[in-house]
Amino acid sequence: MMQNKSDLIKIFIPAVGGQGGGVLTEWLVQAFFLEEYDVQGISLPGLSQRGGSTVYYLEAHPKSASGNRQIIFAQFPVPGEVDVIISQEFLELGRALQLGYGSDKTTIVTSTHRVFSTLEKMPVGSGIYADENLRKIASSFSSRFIEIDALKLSRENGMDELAVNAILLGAVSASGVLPLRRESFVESVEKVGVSVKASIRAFEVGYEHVSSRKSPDQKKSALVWDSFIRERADKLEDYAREEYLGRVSRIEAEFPSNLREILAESVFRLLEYQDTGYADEYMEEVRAVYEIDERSKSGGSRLTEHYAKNLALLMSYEDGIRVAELKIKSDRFKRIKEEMRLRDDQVFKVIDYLKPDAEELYGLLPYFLVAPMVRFTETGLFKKIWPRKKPLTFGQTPTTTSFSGYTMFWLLTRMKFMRRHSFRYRKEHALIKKYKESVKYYVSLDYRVGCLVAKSASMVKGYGKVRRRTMNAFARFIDNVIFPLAEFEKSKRKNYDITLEIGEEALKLISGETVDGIDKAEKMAREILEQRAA
Amino acid sequence: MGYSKELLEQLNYGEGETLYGDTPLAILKAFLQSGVSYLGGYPGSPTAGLIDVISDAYEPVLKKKGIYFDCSGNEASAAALLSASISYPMRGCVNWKIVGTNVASDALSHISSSGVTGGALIIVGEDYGCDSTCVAERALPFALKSTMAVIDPRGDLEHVAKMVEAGFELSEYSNMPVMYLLSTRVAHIMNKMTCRDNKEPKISMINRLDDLITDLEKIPLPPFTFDHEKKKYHERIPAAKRFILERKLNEFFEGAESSMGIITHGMIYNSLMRCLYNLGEASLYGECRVPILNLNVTNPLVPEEIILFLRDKKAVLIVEEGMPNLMEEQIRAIAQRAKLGLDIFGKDILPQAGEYTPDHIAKGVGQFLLKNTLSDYEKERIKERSEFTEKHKERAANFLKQPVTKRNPVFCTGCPERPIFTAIKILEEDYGRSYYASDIGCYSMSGLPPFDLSNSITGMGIGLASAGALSRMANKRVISFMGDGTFWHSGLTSSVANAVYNNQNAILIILENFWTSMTGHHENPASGKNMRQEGVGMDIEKALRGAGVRWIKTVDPYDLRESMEVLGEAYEEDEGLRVIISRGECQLEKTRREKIVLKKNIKDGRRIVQKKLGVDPDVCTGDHSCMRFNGCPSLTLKDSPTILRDDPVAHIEHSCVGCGLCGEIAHAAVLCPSFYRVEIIDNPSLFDRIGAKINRSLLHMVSRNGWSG
Repeated sequence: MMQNKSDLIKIFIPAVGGQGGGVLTEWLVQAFFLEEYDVQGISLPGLSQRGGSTVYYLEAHPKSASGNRQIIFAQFPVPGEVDVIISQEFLELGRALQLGYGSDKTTIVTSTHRVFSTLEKMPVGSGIYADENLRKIASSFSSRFIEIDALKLSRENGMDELAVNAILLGAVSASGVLPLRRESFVESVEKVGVSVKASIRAFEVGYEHVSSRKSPDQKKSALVWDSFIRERADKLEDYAREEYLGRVSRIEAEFPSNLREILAESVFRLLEYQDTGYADEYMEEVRAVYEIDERSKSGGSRLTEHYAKNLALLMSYEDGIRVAELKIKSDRFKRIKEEMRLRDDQVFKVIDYLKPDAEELYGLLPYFLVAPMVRFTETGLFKKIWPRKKPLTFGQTPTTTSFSGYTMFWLLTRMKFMRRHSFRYRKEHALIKKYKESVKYYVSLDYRVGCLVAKSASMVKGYGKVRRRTMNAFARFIDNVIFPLAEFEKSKRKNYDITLEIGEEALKLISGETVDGIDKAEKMAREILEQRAA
Repeated sequence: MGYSKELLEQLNYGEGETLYGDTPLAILKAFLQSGVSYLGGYPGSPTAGLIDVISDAYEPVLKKKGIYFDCSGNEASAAALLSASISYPMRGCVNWKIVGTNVASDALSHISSSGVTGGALIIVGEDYGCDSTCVAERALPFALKSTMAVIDPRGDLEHVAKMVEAGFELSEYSNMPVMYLLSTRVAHIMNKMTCRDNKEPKISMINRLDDLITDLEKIPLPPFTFDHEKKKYHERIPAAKRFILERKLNEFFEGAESSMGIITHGMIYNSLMRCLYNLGEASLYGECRVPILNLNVTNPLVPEEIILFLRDKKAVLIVEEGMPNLMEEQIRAIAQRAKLGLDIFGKDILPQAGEYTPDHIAKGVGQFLLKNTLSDYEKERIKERSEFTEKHKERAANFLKQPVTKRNPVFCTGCPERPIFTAIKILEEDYGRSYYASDIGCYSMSGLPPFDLSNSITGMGIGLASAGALSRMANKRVISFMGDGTFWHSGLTSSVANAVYNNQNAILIILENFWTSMTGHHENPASGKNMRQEGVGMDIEKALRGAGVRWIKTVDPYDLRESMEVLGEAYEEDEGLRVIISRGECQLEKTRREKIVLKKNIKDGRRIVQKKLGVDPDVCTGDHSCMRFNGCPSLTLKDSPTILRDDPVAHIEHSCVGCGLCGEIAHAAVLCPSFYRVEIIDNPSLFDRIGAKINRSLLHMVSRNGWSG
């Protein structure tokens, strides 16, 4: 048997194509050369470079240990045998570990920032892969796990995204995972000659960050309640501010801490959206549901939490008035200037892409005016006169920073007084009524089913046809999925496990990446019922 | 990226100097050390780097030495270039990716029939792991049927270069063209190598030929074809075998366990050695308990050499990557003919498919070692070691209940090809799905999320032709995509001419972006210059008209409404071939070039207007419809600004190049009012500044809330 303890260092670098992994690999190769190592670096190009998953691999061996004999390098990393993983993106680290490249002999240095993949972006709901899974696999398949948010560091230091590379190199140097001196890393960056100055600065940022042992970023530090309220109150006009603070102190008195922020945010949103009366109606509703929570044996407030969030969102549905208000809020332009990194010596214009359809426009008008017209358009006579199948839309691109564009939005915001009499209001509130009643009915059958229904309204979103489709999907979800299943179990005196399981499954389908999720969900419910009935 | 001046200067290094670089640079250096006269090739992975380095070195190095570089139109043209070596003592080398061999094969058959006088080398990018758009196939069967020698080097930069030189000599000695396999990983090594002096080419653009030979015997026409056939098997192959033996091109490594042996080839040697090292059977320096024969020449095999290795052994394992396992079958036949009576193992215990990585072969190699007499203790150890990786992989793969989300490649930020697929996707809502015949290029990615617009990929330049029968026999519209590079590669003849000739009812969308982008931005006939940087203008539209296409429209891809209208017209036409040319330069190349000019202009105080797109996070409700029509890397997700919404909202990153597609989509697909465009003026004129001031005070009057724009 041959001895296989050796000085060979195997480094695996997973990345997203386009992150500049080739340069990072070259820096490492040169740094090893500078310290008298035999090295082989391998970069993989091809289609994978277009934003796909990609990997780089490096092997190094000190010349002093080989006694002038030639090393037979391998071109492939072997699962379970990698010494160091330097990951340029967090999900790619997960992929590398899932393929077995990490083990109890591996040190991981990773950036925790995420570049979302197309498949994560496409679902109607959230398709983002959970960070905690990645942390879990990273700590189980490594001996040492060093994480930094290199992208955040680069932004904090006013550098561009590509600095992530050099920041990681600095982190690798500071962590001491490789037997190379700091000077060799710096010299290699100079030698490779790709944006040397910026890279060395970024290297130092990464080095300092790890060597000063700053703890890994805590997940969003809990928002401080006071500043949370102040931030919102400051945005309101004087008289509304008083009203708001009064309501906030009632919330403080009546509700547990986990609901306070949700309610304070909701009341603020509705005050801004309409008026105090509207916000009070909301609070009445939430109080009624919270009583159910208090009475239930579970002791939590899960039902109220879902209900409070979704009711506030439904009640502040995005109509033309709302959009106009958001488009000319003064902090919008401040935000744009920051996001676009604009300097004061630059002049800028903001042009908005708007394309309301007919319903979004006439929806703003009073119900008594619009309703007869809409009824007429649904008659056969109208369809003969107007055979158009596609809805009528009105595309425009106003320059919101110009006087005319701004005034158009401003005039729209003045229509707020008509909102509660509008056609759209009636339509939205019909759905809200259905939501309220459904939650109360199903929670009376079973607490968990009630929570599921309360949660499900978050599927209602979007504008124009997307909103109509999601409103429709919500109604169908209640009527054709939850209702028949719950009735069936009620009649069999079961404990609603099927309703819960199929309901959750249906929600996943609906928030998936295709628009026909509700069709699939209904079909699934039907099949289950037929199966059970048989 | 390109090769820097410093890197290229190393090409002039002499004996004993140390070159640092990647595999393509090392190979080019080996060409110069071999006194090569001409080079050519068609770019593709993993040999694209070779074309890069040749084209970068053309002006500063090659041209001065009189070396010709042919920017070959396709692989067939590249292969045909080798004709120069049939009658004249000049060395030449061409290269392409594995599937290019199919295109080149007509020329290869003819040249290898005639035989060569000067060394002729064909570097084929062997890509059995399929890291690019290709199918899993090997080059070896081509070489066998056309009688070419095959060199397959170990994974070591210096060895790679040495084998290039040996390849030219082998070709000259045996009069056969030689295939040289460059596998994906070996093509991307970064390391050092020791150089030798360069040789001047005997014949070059400077030292031209005066007389040309007319030698009918070299032409593959009867009756000489039959002589060629005889020469192949009676002269050339025996000569090659002699050369391989004399020059010891294959490597024999001794080992203590003389009753066993392993035969392998090329880079698989490196994987095998790492596998044996992990099993505790070998050192890092290539010392191994079991004797090893590594074939750097995989065709022809030399029976004497094989028999010498097999003789007196009880069991031998053949570690050969890929199917068909022609080497294993030949070795078995050699052993049988020599009546050696030993056990030969190969694909019966090793995996049949897949790249031979150290872990992929571990179990099979372990099984082989166990077959021979060993102590129980050793047996236990080998079994445990060889199964360790497998178990470790399984544990890692099953650790997460929800597997990590896949990440497929996507069209770059601002890509001019994406909008066409967006338009087709939006039109699907009205017209339904069509049959989408895709082709080879960046646009092959249209088959991936979020577009999912690909029913077939059949090979290069033949997407449209592949739908020939279906356009008559299916109640579906046929739409085919083709890039400008692919059009000039073979699309004009194989697809367009064929469609006109057959009056095919189909729509062909030519994505003219002026570069062969997928391989790393190579010039193509649409670029306006060739890879030697000489201006050439070739016009796709004129070529189409010349071929008899009547319905041709050109669109600006960023004008989504126009593209949709033109597409709609083509959909409605439903007769004959309709060609839409979508013309927009590859954004990567354009940005790379313009960024420098832009920076300079801003610095010089010129008034510059730039565009960027954004999303209002409080207007976005997070239904992500925009993502399902787009897939732009800079259009991504972030947390919603309100704690009431659990799902993330859309967000545009600073990497946005302002192509405006996402805004156009919001319009064309009637999505939402969340998108906005910002026009940023650097060095604003007096007029701009006064205008902005007046505007500001007017707005302040209306809003009364301290407008701070």
